[in-house]
Amino acid sequence: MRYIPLTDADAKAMLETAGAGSVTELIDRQIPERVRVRGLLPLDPPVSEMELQRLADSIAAARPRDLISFLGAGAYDHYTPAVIEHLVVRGEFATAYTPYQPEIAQGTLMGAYEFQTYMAMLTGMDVANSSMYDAATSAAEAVLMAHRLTRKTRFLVSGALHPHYLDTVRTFVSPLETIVLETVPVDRATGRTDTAKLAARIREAGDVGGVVVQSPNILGIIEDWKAVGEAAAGTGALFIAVTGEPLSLALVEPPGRFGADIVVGEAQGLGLPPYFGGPNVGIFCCKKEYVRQMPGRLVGETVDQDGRRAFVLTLTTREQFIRREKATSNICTSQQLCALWVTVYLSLMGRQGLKDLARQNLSLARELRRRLLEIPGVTAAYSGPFFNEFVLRLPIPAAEFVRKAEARQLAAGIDLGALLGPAHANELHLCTTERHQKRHHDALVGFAREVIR
Amino acid sequence: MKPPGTQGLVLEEPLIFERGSPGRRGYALPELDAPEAKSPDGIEGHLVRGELEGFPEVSEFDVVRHYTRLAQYNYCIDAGLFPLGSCTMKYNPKLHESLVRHPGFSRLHPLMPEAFAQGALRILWELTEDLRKCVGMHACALNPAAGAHGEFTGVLMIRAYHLDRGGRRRKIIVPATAHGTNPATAAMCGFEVVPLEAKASRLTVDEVRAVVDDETAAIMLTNPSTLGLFENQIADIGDLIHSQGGLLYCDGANLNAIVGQASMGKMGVDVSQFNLHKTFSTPHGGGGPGAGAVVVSERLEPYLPSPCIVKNGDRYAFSHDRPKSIGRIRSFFSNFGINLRAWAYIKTMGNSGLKEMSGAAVLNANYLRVQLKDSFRLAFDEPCMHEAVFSDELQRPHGVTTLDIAKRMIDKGYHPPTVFFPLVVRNALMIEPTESESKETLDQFVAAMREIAAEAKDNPELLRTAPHGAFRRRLDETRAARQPVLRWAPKS
Repeated sequence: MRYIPLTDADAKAMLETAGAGSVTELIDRQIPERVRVRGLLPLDPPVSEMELQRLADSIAAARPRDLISFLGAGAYDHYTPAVIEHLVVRGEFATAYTPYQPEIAQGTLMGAYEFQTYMAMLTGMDVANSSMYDAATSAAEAVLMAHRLTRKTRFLVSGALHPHYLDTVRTFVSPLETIVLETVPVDRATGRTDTAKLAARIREAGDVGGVVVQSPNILGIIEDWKAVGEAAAGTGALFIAVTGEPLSLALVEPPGRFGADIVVGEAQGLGLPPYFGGPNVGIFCCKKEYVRQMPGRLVGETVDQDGRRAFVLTLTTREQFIRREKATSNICTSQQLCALWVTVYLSLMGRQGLKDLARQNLSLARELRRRLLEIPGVTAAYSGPFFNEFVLRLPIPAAEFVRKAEARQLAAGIDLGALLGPAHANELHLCTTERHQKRHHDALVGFAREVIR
Repeated sequence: MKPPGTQGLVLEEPLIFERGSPGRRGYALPELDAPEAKSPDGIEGHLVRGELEGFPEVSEFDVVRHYTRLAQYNYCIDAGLFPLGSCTMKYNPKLHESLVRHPGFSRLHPLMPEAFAQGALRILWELTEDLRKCVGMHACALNPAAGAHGEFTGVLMIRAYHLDRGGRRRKIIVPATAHGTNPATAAMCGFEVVPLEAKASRLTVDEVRAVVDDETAAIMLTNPSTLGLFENQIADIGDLIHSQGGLLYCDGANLNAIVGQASMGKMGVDVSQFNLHKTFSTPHGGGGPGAGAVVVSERLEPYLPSPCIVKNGDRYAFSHDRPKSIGRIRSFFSNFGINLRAWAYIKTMGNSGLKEMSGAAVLNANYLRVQLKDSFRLAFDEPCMHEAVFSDELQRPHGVTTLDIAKRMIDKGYHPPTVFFPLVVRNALMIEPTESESKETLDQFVAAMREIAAEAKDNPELLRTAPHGAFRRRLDETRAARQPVLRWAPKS
């Protein structure tokens, strides 16, 4: 059998040592008949590697090879340089365990420390952990952490937060029955969170534990972090900033510069393929005074007994394997390999490359939007600044537009009606990245001109 | 202090931020065929970002060399035995790595129209069916991103079940031999943890009867337990807990020992999470990503997280129409890349291979148990499932502890086992070889462990100062915690 090296002779000798006549006998001594399984499992018989490869290829072909996609909203199809895969799939990274034995895990630990550094620099925050599952669960953990820190139960959440993040926050806080999530309205013209109303509501309610605002938000609009920071400052409410498309941080001042207490987000856009929604990489950063309330794994610098620089998992008394039911979270893993993927990507892009890449995304998005707006009946849904995603209002339902595009091998954007509700039924969410050339834009614009009359 | 280069070809390497030179580039962008924009239209001046302070300026080769050197600092299952009890480090088939790179999977956007996502949906559907059948359970969901996330999902379902029946039950019983995350999960889900101390190697119905009442929402036990033993009264415990209106949570962390051997359905399990890397051979990745499928009994099926996958004829789709669902637990759907590897493993092992796998895991563990029991104190001298638990009792008189034994194993070329866990065994060493290891490997390991036992007697100092041959000596962990340095910072 594949992957099992024991020969019959090995098994015989080992059974003799173990004092049993057969493996079945060994197991029968331990598992009572009432729950024992006899015979084969109700699964298909084994297939060979070549057969499986063929099967997988045919299954994967459901996504056409020449498909052109304009999908974003929290998952991004950026180009992945070949170098990354070659490095990250190395067995030393991919098949290592959680680095509980630091003397022989310095590679994983240094990589995690670099990830923490990158995330802190990118978000303008003091510290970052070494990754979470994804942006949605990071946002949920941020609200739980703010609740632990402030003991307050009311949280004001922007109406333009990604609906998956909102739903996840709702699920995570559901057992703490006292927590109230209150939606802050979005300005219908700009697509930005109404910070005047946000400020008024914080003052009026008086018991706000935190405000949660995303930028670029689900409408693709870049929020004014300064205004959000000012609304929260001095009120006792923590400022929780969320980002879905981390590449935007190469061009936009990060929330850390405007008083954010906790910054969470999704790092998948930094070179990790979208993989049908996972694995992703959650970002989790905070001010250093809050570090002992953070969830997740942290790597710190220290020295070994010869005085050489070394890295180790630290502040572990926050974690479940030490504090059990008193832990800050039950999370006991990280997205280490994905975090390393992001770390290698950022290293490759470097100081200038990341800015240039972000500018390309922005330039392409501006150009695509300009061209689509030339089509009679198509208008911009929101006027606020955008990065590489934007929303158009169509004269037809966005669902119809998207469905008709399928015949052209076009994933022509996201029907916001399906994501945000019927009020957005004519709104189409589009994303363009460096993967697109003019011909890709031509395909979409040409299709749109035909279908919108 | 040794100068760089004295470790043979394992070289000292600075952080990536300390490498490079101004103006050096690691990647060339395609030419832009649109008018160039410097900053978003209409963005306020205060929101325009300046330089990316601290980011490195390195070449592609700098990057390759840097991360290759980091890789050389790591021990991994591809290089040698990783006998981590209850963590289950087994071979990760290389086939899986090539499958997930297929652009039909890797570049599939999660909000892709279902017509273009039929392949991925089919994989997920087949995996839910296969996992469910592996353990004789009613339904399965793949949404959780890791084992602990699966636990959270499972306990939230337990909560939803009781609320739906109008009962607000407060307590969850967690035996001392359960997995370490269980109490944290129960607490996160708003339950009071009722600890159950271990009186013997296995939990008994009577012990559970003494603490169960009409406030008990569930009991969370791990089977096989963290002592490597099968909880042989589990079905009776299930009957008891059900008779009191509670539910049975079985942590599936050690499932690799019982797939094809025991049925969770027959045990009366209501919910379990599977840490897919442990049983279905997905890479651990230095700590992740994982995936934590949950399986449930019929009574918990309505509460599964959203969305679910449904099959209509030969078409697959997401279903959000689940009124009793606990709701969404993450962005998008699942850690598809990991689930795909588990799917591939089940296909290549098939109906006979998975059963053979669990059998071999049990045989290997028992072989080590018997071979090592003269050298190290065996916590429970009886047949075991996937792992055997030892302690340092025979070495302590020489001033040698579990930690010293663990660190000395590094010098012998092995990753140390899980240490100081489970808590019910003082200074535990939990050894789990998995089914991937050959008899020769196990024999070499036994020889190394016997050498260590001899050294503990004859030269205890050698152990107390180990490791000697690793890239780093023992670390000052206290300093890391007292004066946390959690990031590199540019010199201002």
